[in-house]
Amino acid sequence: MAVHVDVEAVRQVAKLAKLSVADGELPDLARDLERVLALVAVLDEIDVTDVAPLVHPHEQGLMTRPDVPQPGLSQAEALANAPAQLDGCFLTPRVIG
Amino acid sequence: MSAFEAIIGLEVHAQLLTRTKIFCGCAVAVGGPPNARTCPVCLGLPGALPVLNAEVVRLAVRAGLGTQCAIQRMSVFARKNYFYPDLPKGYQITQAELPICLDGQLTLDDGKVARIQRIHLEEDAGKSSHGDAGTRVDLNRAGTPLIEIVGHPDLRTADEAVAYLRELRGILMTLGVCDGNMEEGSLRCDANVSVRPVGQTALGTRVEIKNMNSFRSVREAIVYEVDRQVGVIADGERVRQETRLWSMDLARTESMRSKEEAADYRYFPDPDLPPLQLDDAWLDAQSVDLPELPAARKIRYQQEFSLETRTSNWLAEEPPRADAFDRAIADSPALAAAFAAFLMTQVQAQLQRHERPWPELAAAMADLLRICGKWRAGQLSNQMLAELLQLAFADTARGLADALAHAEAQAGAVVRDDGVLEPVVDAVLAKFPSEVAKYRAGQKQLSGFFVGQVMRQLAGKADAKAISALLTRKLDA
Repeated sequence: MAVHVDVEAVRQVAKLAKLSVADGELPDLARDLERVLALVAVLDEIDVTDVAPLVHPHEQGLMTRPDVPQPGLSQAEALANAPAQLDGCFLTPRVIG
Repeated sequence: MSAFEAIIGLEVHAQLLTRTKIFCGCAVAVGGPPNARTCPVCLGLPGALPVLNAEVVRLAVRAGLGTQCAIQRMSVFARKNYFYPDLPKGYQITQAELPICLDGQLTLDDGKVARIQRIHLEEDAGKSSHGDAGTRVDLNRAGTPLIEIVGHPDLRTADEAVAYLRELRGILMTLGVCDGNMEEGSLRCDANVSVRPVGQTALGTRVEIKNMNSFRSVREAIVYEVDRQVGVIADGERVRQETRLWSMDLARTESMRSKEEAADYRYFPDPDLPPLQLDDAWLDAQSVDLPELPAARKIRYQQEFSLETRTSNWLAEEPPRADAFDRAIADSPALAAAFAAFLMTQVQAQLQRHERPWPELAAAMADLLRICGKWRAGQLSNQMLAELLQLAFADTARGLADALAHAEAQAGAVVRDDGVLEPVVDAVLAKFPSEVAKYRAGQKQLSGFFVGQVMRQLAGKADAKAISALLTRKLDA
């Protein structure tokens, strides 16, 4: 089944993923994505009328843990890799709420 | 412009009363230094994997049972993808297509049924604060367990929305699911509001209102927003689909972001978390120990203690207050109706004047009941009671229980002894001969005047019934 991906769709996906893509790269990416989607679209040929939906390949359900506090990281450890910090907080460029 | 009706649906986030976060063992608490309750999981460090807190599941199921939802044997965690500094992983773990509870309902005090679409589990984000230096991010709150209760747009007025929120809050608090504190944000409410001409079935464009952190702001924000939308339509314009923030200071909603550039969250099942499966035996066990919910409590108060509807609703809507009341009147149920009314009027009035923390009030319930009993038995006059309460609630040097006992000792005993009352009654009757004549001629309502005069002579510290009886004896003799 043919899937059409236009340049606008690539631009939108890039924006959502916070990737900067030069305008010149868009047509090639659109073509590549079209081919990837066409590959996956092979699955559409399978008849799944009587097959229950599968959300996860594991047979085993979710494991849980008891509600007991565990030691974590200190403030200094938590912030150790932060490019910028202020007053014990991670500091990022100002974002408008 | 009254030919419009409002369509309102609430989305309520409730913070679950757990000790630890939803997917890691970091403690859940308020305050403290920033970024001091984190670990690789809630910081979103590469390779860290979430493990679900069992207590979160138990509490979400209780919330579902308390709102008559169908608890789902299988629910699925999904990733909601968006970028924001206080969301370290770049996605929030939530539940999308397959939430843990579906199709519940609440019955409001007036009997109206408001449907609940779903309840799902999710993690909270961290906290951002924006300043000149940039945006500061504290991730102590990241990973705090929440349930979101999504209501159908069944509400039609701001009052109904408040009644719905009160009912829901009462249920969550009674079940120990959430502490219900709106000021501190452990219960947060967003409202979807649209308007349409009465008689039209299609829904109008809806606006989402955020940032309402009290019942009062929920009511005022919705009233404002409905008026605003009706005004927009009256001006021949169209309501824009957007998110608006309620500002209590400005008493209006303000545009936050337009939904035209609607976020595309690209939900998909979280591969780190297999489906959550609940078995029937465990679920059955969850429904056996449910406590009495506010709706049942209101009815019990009315039937067992003959409380008025207004009083029973007021008492039951704040579960800790109702619990303290129940404990206090356990040994003297005959006083229940008088005590409930006493709490709702006299004590409530004092609380509005003098702030007293709730634990103090709870600890003073037995003292309040004793004082109410003395007042009802005529051992304290109305004025003595008012003075006693005023003195005690203003006395912040003592705990409330101590302050009440102290003020009670100060108040002394009411004057009801005929030996003391009689000379005063005689003096008053001698002072107002023409009123006495009128009374004897049939103006019996003057007895109130005489009681008042005697009471004034005794500085309000006399038993009105005793005065009245004495007056009757003398005047009708």
